[in-house]
Amino acid sequence: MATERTVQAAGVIASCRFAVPDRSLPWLDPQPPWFAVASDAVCAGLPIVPADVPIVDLLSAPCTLAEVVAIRAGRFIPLFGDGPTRDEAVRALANIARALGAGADPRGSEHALSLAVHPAAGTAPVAEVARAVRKGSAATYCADIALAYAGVLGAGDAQRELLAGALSTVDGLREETALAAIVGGGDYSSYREHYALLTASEFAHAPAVRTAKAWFDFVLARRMGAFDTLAALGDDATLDPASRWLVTTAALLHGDEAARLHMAKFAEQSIVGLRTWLPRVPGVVAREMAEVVQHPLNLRFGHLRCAAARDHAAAAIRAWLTAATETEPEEQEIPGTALGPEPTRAGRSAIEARAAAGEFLLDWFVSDRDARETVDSFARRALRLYHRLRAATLLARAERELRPPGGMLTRVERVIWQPAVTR
Amino acid sequence: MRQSITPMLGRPFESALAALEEARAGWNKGGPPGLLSRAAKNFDLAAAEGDARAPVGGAFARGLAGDLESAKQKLREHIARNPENAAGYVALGILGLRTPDPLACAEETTYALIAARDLAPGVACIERLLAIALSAAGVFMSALQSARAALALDDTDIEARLWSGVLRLYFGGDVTAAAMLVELPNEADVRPHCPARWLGAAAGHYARSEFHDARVALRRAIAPLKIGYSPEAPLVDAARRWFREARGFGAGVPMSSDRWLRDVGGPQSDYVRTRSALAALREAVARDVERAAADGVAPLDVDSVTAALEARTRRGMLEWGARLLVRGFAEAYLPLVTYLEPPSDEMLAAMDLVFLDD
Repeated sequence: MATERTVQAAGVIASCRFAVPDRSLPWLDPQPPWFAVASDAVCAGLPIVPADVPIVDLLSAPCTLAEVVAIRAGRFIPLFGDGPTRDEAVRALANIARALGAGADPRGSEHALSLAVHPAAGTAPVAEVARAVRKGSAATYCADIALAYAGVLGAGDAQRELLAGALSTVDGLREETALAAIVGGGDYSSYREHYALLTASEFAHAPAVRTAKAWFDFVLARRMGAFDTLAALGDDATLDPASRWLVTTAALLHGDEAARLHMAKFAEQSIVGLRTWLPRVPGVVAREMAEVVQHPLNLRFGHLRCAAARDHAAAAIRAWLTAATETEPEEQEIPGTALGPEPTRAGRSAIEARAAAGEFLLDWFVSDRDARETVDSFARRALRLYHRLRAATLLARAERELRPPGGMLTRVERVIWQPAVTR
Repeated sequence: MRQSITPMLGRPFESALAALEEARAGWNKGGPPGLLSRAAKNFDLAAAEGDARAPVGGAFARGLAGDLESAKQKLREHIARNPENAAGYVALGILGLRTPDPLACAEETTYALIAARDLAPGVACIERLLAIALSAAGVFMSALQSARAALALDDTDIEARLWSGVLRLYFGGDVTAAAMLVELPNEADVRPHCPARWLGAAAGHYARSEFHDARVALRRAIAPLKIGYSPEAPLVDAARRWFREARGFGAGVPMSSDRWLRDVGGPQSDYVRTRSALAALREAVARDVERAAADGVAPLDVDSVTAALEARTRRGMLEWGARLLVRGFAEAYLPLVTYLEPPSDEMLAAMDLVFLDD
């Protein structure tokens, strides 16, 4: 385990603190990658020289120019870069607090997200967290924080999937990592691929995954029957608040006037544990939710335009082929000449053409570009907020476990818990 | 063994045509392979003498004898050498329609026949063949246009009327075509046509809810084939399978009101629910016009989407019906005709092998 100490080095910003590396961690041997000297190029045109670029472990609020340059130069300790320890977990929370706390930098979330993965170490530190949690040498809150870090800061699909993929072997977190990795697709218009993963997921029967799949079916594949499934799932009080929030977004799309109130209620339930130490989170959630629910009639109309563009007639081919397999009483087969159930080649190709192209793709693809973009934007925003809410629940749990019982707080702990104590 | 009665004419091309003619005359569930082989050999000799028409005849005779792959390859080579000559394209198209699985090579057949039509416009036989190929390929609107063009060129063309009727019934949703399909085999029987046309009558009878007559028509269509005889079983099964799917499709056309709701999936279908949701949105927009205007939604916009939904679904229903039944018809009918009927005089004329006297 890493032993911490504060190092005052010439040319390094005084407040910068980093750990003596644990050589058993592969990315720290022979030297942690964040010790590499910044190149002249990253400092070009800036009032800073490479020798003055610090190693960032904890963001300032607001961020200094030196920190921004350091992040760009790779001179930062990534998430759990010093190993899966309590101190690293606290540091991760502190960085979130700096990004979403009082007086946070307007681009604090972006800078904090940059600290998630180091370009030289990749996801090895997070994978080490997963390994340590699996072995029992690290607390499960380390994995919770690593997963929630991306979600609560509003990471894109790629970064969230990256971290979730590294944590996917943690037993207690597998469903959550599956949701983080699979439920998405807005950033790269890859909803079809994500839907395929949802369908094939080993947790396909879990309520949260079923909710996400039904939401995809209703919102993106415009299958109206899926709304009944969503409504039934939403009535289940044991469903997590983030999933219930997702259900209410579908209700909004369906024309439920009370959906906005319910959305606010479930969002509130999800972030209640973060209010004290991340005071900007309610504001961020409120702003993003306002974007989701703006112009509900236009959104509903866009969704119905997409639904109207579906190939509804294709349902008939299955009905006809099913009816064809029913035998008629007056039909007399000559013994030994009974026809097999397989359809004609024309019938087979009529069914298989859709299957080969992927029914979801066909349903999702609509020529009405405006309507499609309206619904896709809604889906992208809703899913990002959904992950923020899921992560908020995880993070609140981890924060409760990490909260010191009392006494002296370290410098990093003060970033998280000092404001609450002060209040 | 039957002896050849081909007269020993002077030139190889004439001998080849005589052998081909005799093979056509003696066609009985396929042509006599010896005669077709002799025709192919003589066409080869004629080609060696420099006759420009002979390569097409040779490849065609080989194709009739069963060596389809080799015949098609020769035709492709001939087309590569003589891209301006329609005969090669016509032969390739005819052989494409005479393969055991005409749907599999429908695309190539279509392209060949489109090229032939462009090079030799106004030939009824080519238009008719193109209508069939386009039907097998699933390009129904163009198929219907070609069938109509063939009928415009020759209004006594039974085959063009058959395909026009099938396309009108299943793709056009025109139930009046059923009457024409029912009458067609009786007219065909007057001429030396094979009984496969009764398959079209089966479609017509079923569309008119004459279920017993439809079954009788099906039996007449496959009457020359022996039930239980394994070489002919695929032909019988294909016809029965198609009829089974026509039965699943049901009487009438999907446009009819009693069928419409059932075919789109019933009251819980996405179509019905989307339409209901649009109606609910229309009400909401009419109730709160100011809010709707702020959201950029007008009642007329909703109405137009509802109308487009219905029109697109009705059109789509016919499209899917045609994909199932017109292509299925091609799948069942074409091998039957190939088996029971030799290529017609018109086809030989379209390949520049013979001239037809009016």
